[in-house]
Amino acid sequence: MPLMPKRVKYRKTQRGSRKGTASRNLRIDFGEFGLQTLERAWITNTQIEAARVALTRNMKRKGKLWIRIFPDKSVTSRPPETRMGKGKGQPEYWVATVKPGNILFELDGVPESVARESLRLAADKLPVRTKFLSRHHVAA
Amino acid sequence: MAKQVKLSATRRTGTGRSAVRKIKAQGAVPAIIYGGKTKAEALQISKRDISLMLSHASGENILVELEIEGEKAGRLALVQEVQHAPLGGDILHIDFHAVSMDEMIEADVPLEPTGLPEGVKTFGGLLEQNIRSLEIECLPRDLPDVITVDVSHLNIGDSIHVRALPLPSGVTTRVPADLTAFSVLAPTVEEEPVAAAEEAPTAPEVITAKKEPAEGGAAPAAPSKGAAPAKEKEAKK
Repeated sequence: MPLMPKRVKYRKTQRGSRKGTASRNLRIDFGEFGLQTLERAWITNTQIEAARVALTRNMKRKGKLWIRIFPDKSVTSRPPETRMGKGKGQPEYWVATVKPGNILFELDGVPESVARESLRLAADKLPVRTKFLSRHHVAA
Repeated sequence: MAKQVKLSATRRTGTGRSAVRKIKAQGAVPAIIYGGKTKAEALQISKRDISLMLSHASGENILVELEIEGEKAGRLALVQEVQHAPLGGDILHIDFHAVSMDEMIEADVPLEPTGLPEGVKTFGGLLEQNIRSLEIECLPRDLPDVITVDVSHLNIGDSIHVRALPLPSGVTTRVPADLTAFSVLAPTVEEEPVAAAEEAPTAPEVITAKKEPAEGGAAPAAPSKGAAPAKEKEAKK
């Protein structure tokens, strides 16, 4: 099942603001290692899923993974070759808004070398520059 | 036991964004000391000294002897909080909690497992750490840097509760004794959701969607905009 909310109040959302840096979800809370975004973006549900698959494959299904972002914002688009007007388009996909400093994934139960490599592979699937974080090197 | 470090500080009069910017431009870090019998005082400390102190410390619990400019005797304080910038990790501000050597203090001390659990080594289980830091109560001289726990004997399904943690002498905790600190979980095999993907819904349920009464056939989930005015026109005729 694709990552998206089970129930929503409204199907379509406005674009909202992405300015500023993250003020929450910016520390490693659950695992030992984490992946932090350095840029702001909309990360789609397919990108999150691709990163998750890359992570779990490299970890060989060992360890524990936390996905700290969730795509709760719908993005609409208009069908090709349609004229302007006639209202807003239909929801096409779902995104999570991330701001610089947000933690995207957390890992535990694997050695640091495996965590680094797994999170590097996951970061390659994402549209943002990222940084590897460890609980023991806060200011790394 | 926590290391005691000497640190020199100067009082600052300016507070607020503008004053703090000037302090940071001088290569200093704003700080505050509170607690004890004296009033809270705003301080500033050299950024280099702070970075050195934090890089040499093994934990976050550092006892500091603050030598404040203009005071003859140093003041004993515990580093209560260090604020870091979310990006880059620069030190933004430090809180010092003034303590005296004969009064009990409360602190959060990190819990660290040592050894590889039997269940992880033999059966490929997962060591789960439910409590990362423990709230303790002790005298400043008894304050540990870190509490290490030997987890090598844990098998799958075993756990260590707070009551079984090896606390140093003179250290007590108020955390409920029944809480699990470490546990070894059985290895999980993740199943690929192949069949479920076909049946998965493609759109979420809309809470505010208007429910139309069923007239013969099933009502469309999202009525088009053009449909409603057509019905109204027919009714007017």
